[in-house]
Order: sequence, then structure tokens, then C-alpha cells
Amino acid sequence: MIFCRGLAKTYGEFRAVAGVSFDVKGGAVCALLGPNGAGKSTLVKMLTGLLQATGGSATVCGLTVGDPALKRIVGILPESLALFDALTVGEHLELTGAVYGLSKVDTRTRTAQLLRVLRLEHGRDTFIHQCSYGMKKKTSLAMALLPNPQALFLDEPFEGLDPITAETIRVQLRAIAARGVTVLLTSHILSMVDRVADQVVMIHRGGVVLDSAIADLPKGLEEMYFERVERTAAEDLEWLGVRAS
Amino acid sequence: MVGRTGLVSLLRALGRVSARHVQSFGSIGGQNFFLFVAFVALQPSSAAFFGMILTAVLLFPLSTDPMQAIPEDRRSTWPIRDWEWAAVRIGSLLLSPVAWIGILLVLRVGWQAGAIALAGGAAAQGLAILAKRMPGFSGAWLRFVPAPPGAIGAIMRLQWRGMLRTLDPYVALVLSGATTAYMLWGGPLDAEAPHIMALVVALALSTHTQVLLGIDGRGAERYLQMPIRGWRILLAKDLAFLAMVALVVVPLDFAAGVIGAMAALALGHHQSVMKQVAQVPWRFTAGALFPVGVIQTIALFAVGNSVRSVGWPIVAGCVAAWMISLWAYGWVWDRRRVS
Repeated sequence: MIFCRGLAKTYGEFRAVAGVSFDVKGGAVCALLGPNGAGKSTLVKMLTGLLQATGGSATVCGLTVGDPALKRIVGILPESLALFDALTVGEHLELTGAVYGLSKVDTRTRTAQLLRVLRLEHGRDTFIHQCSYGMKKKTSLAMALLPNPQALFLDEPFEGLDPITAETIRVQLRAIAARGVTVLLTSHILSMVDRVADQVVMIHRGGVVLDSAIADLPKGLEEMYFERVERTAAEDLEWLGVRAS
Repeated sequence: MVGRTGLVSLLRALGRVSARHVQSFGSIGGQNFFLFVAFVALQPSSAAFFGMILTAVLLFPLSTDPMQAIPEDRRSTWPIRDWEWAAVRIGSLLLSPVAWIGILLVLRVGWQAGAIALAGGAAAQGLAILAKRMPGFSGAWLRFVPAPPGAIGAIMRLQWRGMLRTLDPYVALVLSGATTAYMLWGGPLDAEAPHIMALVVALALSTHTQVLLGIDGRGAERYLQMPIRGWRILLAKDLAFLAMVALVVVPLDFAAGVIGAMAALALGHHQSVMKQVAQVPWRFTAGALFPVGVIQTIALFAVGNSVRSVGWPIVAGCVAAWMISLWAYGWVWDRRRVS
């Protein structure tokens, strides 16, 4: 479970996250929604201890954010993916297994399963710098899942993936949440969020504008998003499609 | 058809790409070894040997075809006719840095030197194109770099791979190989030469001690998420570095080279942890020459030279300094957050 109270991050005068509070129950999937630059990734970085908050407090699975023990129990898919160009896909998982103290047999078995489920078997021996964006994202996701974490923080897990893999990940996330793993994810794909999340937290300009269970939303998710967070641009590019005579 | 203006614009863009490509070799200015070569160059005849080695190592990356900057998909979709592409191809040859070097050598040294540079560049480019067309060949040999057991071993392999994707180890290897070959089959050699060359070889690798984390690029962020202490990460990287130094100095003067390298590590941890500078593959490692590089160079030579005269006390002192630095900067890393 995740408890977040007045979490804030400022850079000089700029408030990237302005005192955000919300709770996520154990075994729930919570989606953080908001436009680019709303503060979602900053929030995820603070909750995973990667970024020092300038205000507020948070706990994840009973541990205060920043506690070194937290690293052992959370899985992270960071915005940057944080992969090594000089390692192959398979070697990333080997490294993760070794660092988290998994036995070689466990690492090998879990790696094979993860690569199969994520449709990444063909890329096992490919160096990361030769991988497509989708392959990189799957590798980073597999690294988050391999140590069997108690909480998962996923920054845009569905973006850039093919529909089958995205759906596979959705199904897996629902399955692991049912086994008690808490999942906090960010996404721009509202149709996917609608089907994977139990709870949505909408953020705009660093603050929470909506925190609700999906089932309790008075309208559709997309409609709520456009109402609370941002409207579509209405400007017409009148020169498009016009031919010079 | 794009017309003359379009072609000139395209060539101008390729020229800009070429110039930036050459600028990317500016990392050599942050090299400890470059500092040494610049110092030796005060006596030009002594610098010729080191200059030749640098040129030979640079020939591969400098001989890149400017046309490769145009993505394949663009080439096939842009409305440019075959004869226009042919004109761009001819023009682009003059934009290659190797062509400039060749012309410069023809004008300043003689046509033979220019021809050798151009032929070498063409051969290097031919090999590069061949390697590109063989699926899975590019960098595939790096897969054979072994991983010692455990988490430390996995990070050591990563460090070796990162180092082998820069030009520094190849300069060290050529220096060590050339000196060893001369010792075996060449003329009489000054008794101090292997000792001095061991330090020069260690120096050629020493800039890596300033970029122990930066060499992993975005991957360095991963260490912040992993449940592994900072000193263990640095230890893995240090052991990998020392093993590589040991390998190239073993035929020359093992003790001087390795202890000198250890002094460079003790001083390099600060830069590695506090300022992570991402490295460009297949370039010289870019460190900070002032003041870290200068201090490292002096320390490496001072410690390396003292190993024989002072003996165990200098070894023990250097190991102690390295261990303190390892612990201190490991502690700093554990408290680090992303920016």
C-alpha cells in the first residue's frame, strides 16, 4: 500500500509537484493521469526514493520513502528505462537476478518465463543499443518484475508497445494485483487505464484534481479527463490540404 | 527533383554533420593521455611515436562516410533523382574528415603519406560497411567478455564492456604490444623503458577512473534503484579497471602500472560520483583535465615511480588511500538522488 501526504517538489520558484496526497490500497492498481509536464514522473521518482521531496511524506508497504530497504521490495519501470547499452536483453535480467540475490536457477527460470510472456525471446541476445523502443521498454519492465516485488511503480508501461504485448501486460498486472501487489502506473492511454486500474488520480499543474475509484466515476474516464485535466486543441491548421494554384 | 538549391542545402547539412562528428573527438582534450602527449610534444621527435598510435586508433572512427548520416528511409522517400544522389555522393566524399587529413598530408608531408591515410580510411570504411551488412556482427564480440560470479561479477562485465566501447583500451593495447614486441625482437632498450611505458599504458586507461558511472549512460540511474551499496558498485568497477590495467602492463612492469592505476582510482572516485558525464561510444573517454586529470597524471607517475625505490610502504599507503576513497564515495553514492 502507498500513503502519500502533501508530497511536494520545487525547483527554485517552479513547483513541479504541489503537495499531493492520496492513498493506494494493497493489491490495487492506481493510475496517475495528467498531461506531459503535470508532475507524474516527478511524483513516481519521489515515491521510489529516486528524487528527494522538498515537502510532505510518503510510505510504501510500511517503509518510509528513502529507506534503503525499500529498494528490495519495489519494482520500477522508470521514465528513462535506465538500461545499459553494453548489455544484451538477457544479460540485464542476469544482472538483476544477481543484484537482488536470486539463485541462478530462479533467475534462469523467471527470465525464460518473462521473455516468453513479453514476447521478447527473439531479442534475448540483442544488445540494448540495437533494440527497438518497445524491446527496451519490455526489458525494463521485465527487470522490474523479476525480483517479485511487493509494489510496482511503472512510468508509462503501455506506451510504445504493440497491442498484444500491452494487453498481455494488462492481464499480468491484474493477476499480480489480485495476489496483493500494489501497482502505481502513469499512462496517457485512457482506454487501457479504464481496463486495468481500480483507482485514478488525475494531476494537473502539480496538484491532484481528481482521486476516485474507477467504479465511482460519474462519467466515462475519457470524459472526466477532458473535463478535469485538459481540453483538446481546437486550432485549425488552415494551410493543410490547400494547394497553391 | 530538388534542384541546385536543394542539393547545396543537403551537402551543407552533411557538412554540418561531418563537422559535428569531428567535434565529438574533442573528448580527447579531456584525456590524461593527451596531456602526456602534449607534454612530450615539447620535443617533437619524441611525440612522433605517440602521435602515430593516436592516428592509427582514430582512423576507424574518423573515416565515417558522411552519407551514412542520411537515414535509409529518407533516402528512399525523398524526391531526389539518381543523378542528383550521384552529385551528393561525389560532394560528400570531400566532406569526410579522412579526406581532409589526406589532403593535408599531401600538402604538408608528401603524396605517399596522403595516399596511405586515404587508403587506410577507405579500408576502414569498407570494413565498417561490411560489418554493418552482417546481421548481429556489430559489437557481437563483446558478448564473449566473461562475467565473474555474483552481482560484483555482473557489474565487472558491464564495466569491461563499457571500457571496450571506447578508444582508450586500444591505445593502451597498441602501446603495450609495440613496447613488448620491441623488447622481444627490437634493438637494445633502455633498462627504465618498460617501467616508464607501464606507467604510460596505465595513464592511457586512467581517464576511465573519472567516468566509472558515467560510462553506463542512462543505465547509471539503475544503480540508484538497486539494493546494492555504493561501495560495492565502485569496488566492482575498480576491480574491472585494475584487471584491464594488469593485463596490459603485465609484460612491462606489473607493480608500477597497477599501483599507479590504483592512485588514479583513489583520485578519480570524486569525479565519477559527483559529476557523471555520459560517454560517446567509440570515442576517447571524456574526463576533466583540470584539475583532476593533472593531479591524477602526477600521482600516477609519482606513485608508480616510487614503487621500486620505496617498496611496500608506498604500496600499503596507496591501497589504504584507495580503500578510504572507495568507502567515502560509496557512502556519498548511497545518498545520491536523480536530478
